[in-house]
Amino acid sequence: MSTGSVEVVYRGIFQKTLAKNICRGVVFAARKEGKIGMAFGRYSDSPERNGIPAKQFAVVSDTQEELQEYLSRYEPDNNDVTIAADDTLCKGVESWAWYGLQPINKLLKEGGTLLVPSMRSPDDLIRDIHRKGAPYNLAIVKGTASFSGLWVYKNDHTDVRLLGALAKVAPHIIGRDAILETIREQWKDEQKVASAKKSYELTKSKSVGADQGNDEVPFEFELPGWTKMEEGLVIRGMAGEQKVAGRDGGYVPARNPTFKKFSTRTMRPVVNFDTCTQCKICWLQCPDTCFDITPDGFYDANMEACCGCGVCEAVCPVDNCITMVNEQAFTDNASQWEMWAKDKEGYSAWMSKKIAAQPPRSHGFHHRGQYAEEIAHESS
Amino acid sequence: MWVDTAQEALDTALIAYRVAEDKRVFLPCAISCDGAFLTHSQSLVNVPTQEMVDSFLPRYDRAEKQLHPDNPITIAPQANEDWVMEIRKQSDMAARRARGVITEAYEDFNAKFGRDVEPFIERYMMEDAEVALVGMGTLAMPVKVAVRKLREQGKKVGFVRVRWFRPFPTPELQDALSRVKAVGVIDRDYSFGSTYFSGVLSNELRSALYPVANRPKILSFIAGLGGREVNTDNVIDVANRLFKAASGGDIDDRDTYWLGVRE
Repeated sequence: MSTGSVEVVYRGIFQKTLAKNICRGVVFAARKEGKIGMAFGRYSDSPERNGIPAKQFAVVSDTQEELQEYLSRYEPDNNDVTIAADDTLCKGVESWAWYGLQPINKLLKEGGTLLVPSMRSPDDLIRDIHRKGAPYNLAIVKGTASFSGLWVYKNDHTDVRLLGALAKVAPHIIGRDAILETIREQWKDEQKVASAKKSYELTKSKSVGADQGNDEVPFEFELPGWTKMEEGLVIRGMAGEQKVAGRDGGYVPARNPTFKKFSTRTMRPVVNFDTCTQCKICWLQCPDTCFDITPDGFYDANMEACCGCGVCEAVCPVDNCITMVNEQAFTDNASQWEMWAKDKEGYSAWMSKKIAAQPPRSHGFHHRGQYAEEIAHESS
Repeated sequence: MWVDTAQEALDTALIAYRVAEDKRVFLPCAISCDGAFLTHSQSLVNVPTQEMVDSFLPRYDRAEKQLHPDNPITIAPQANEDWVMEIRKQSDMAARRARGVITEAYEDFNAKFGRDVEPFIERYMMEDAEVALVGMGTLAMPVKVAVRKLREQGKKVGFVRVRWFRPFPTPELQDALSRVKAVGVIDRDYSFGSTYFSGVLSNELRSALYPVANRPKILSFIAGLGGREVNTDNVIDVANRLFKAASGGDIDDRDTYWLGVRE
C-alpha cells in the first residue's frame, strides 16, 4: 500500500517532449509492476512559452483509491523525486501562473531526491538551490540540458537516462527491470535500453543538509481576491521618479515589482559598455522592454525582467558588444552598468572572463543553422 | 434582448449602448432581431434627433480604463487558471448590477422620449388573466391578435413578452406569472436535448418559477422555426390546452409540443 510521485520541471516548449517521455515512461513501467499510474501536466497549456518553467507529474499507486486520494490535490506537494530537466532551473522557478519564485526543491518531500542532468558538480549546483530546511538528496546525471521540445527532438537519450536514474533513486516507484522493459517496448531501440542501464549503474545520490544551499528568501506574490482586483484585469503603470522632459503630465514608468520573469532565462546578455554606441536598437527590439536607460545614455539589461531570448545580441550592430552567456555563470541579478560605472577595468576583466569561460548554451542558437551543425557534429 | 418591431430594435439599440457602456456594467450586449421576418421587412420608424439621443446616451467614456500616454495601463492581458474564478466573479457582479442600470436606463428613456415601456418584460392583458402565454420577439404579433380574439369570447388570457433574456427577468416573471393557473411558453428556438426537449425560454422559465408558492402548470411549445408562420389558430390551440390544464384536465406538462410542423 503506497503511492509515489515524480515532479518533472522543464523548460516550456523546449523540453515538452522530454518531460512527456519521462512521465509516460513512469506510467507504463508502473503497469508492468501491477501498479496504476497517471501522468499530467500543470502550466503546460496557456503559460507554456519558450523557456518558461512548466511541470508534469507522474503518480504511481498500488490501488485506484490511493491514486484518487493523491490526485485530489491539484499539485502534488510531497514528491518522492523532483527532476529539474535543465540545471538552470535550480535557481528557482516562476511560471506565469504563480507570480512568485518557487524553489526547485519546494515540492520535494523530506528525504526525497532532486535529479538533475548537469555537467556541474553537486556543490556547484547546491550553491544555486534554495535551502530546503529539511534534508534531501541530490543526484546528477552527467549531461547538458536536452532540447527535446515541440518542434525539435534532440535524440540524445536524456529521457531514458533520467528514467534509468529514477529507478535507482526511487525503486519503490519504478523498478529497474520494469523501466528497461518499458523503454524496449516504447522506443524499440536497444541503444536506449543500454543508456538507461548505464545511467542506472552510474547514478549516485549525495545528501544535502537542511541548511545547505542558497540562503536568499525567494520573492512571493499574494494573488488578489475579486474584490481587490481592478475589473478588466487592469494593471496600472507605476510612476517612477523620472519625469518626462519638456512636457506636463505623463511619466517614465517604473518597473512593476511583481513582474519578474527571469526564471525563464537560460542565458543572459553581457553588455560591453566600452564598445556600445548607444544606438538604442537593443532597447527598441527587446520583446520584454528589459533595458533600463541609464543617466549617461546607456542601455542596461534589467536582470529581473530579462527572459534571455537573445534578440538584443542578434540585433546589436556592434561586434562584441552584447554576448549571450549561459545563466549558470551567474549567481545574482545585479546591474552590469552599475558595476561598470563603479570600476570600468574591473568590469572589463569580469566580462571577458564570463565570455571566455562560458558553458555551452542549453537552448537557443547563436546563428542560423547552428542546430544542424550540432547534430552533424554529435553524430560524427 | 429580443425585439418585436423595427421601432423597438432602434430604441433597444440606444438602451443597449447605454447599459453596456455604463461603468457599473461594461459587459457585451446582443440584440436579437428575429432573422426571418422582421429583418426582411421595411417599416417607418420614429428616428429621434441627434440632440435627443445625445441627451440620453452619453459619450462612451472608459475613464480610468482609457489607454492614454497620461494613463498608462495594461488592460485585459492574458491570465491563467489562478485568475479565472476571480474574473468570472467580477463579471457575475457586473451582470447583477446590470439589472439596476437597465431599470434606470428605461426610466430615463421613457422620460426623454415620451414612452411608457416596462423594462425587462411587456405585459399584455395580464391584469385578470387566468392563463398566460409567454414568448419573445416577433411572436408577439400573432399572439396579441389571438389574445384579443379569445378575450372577445370572454376567455381570460394574457401575454408576457420577455425583452431581456440576460439578465433573466426572474422577479418580474415571478410577479407576472404566479397569479395565473397555467403558462404556455412558445419558443421560436430549440435547445437540443434540453430538459423535456424544449426551447431556451421554457427551460429558464420553469427554473424561475420553481420556488414560487402557487406555481402554475407550465406547458412548452416550439413554433416558427426558420421564420415559419405562427398563426392565430396555433396560438388559440395553445390557449385551449392551457385552459384545459388550468381546470385540472389531463395534459402532460413533461413534454414539448411542436406547432405547425408537417408530419
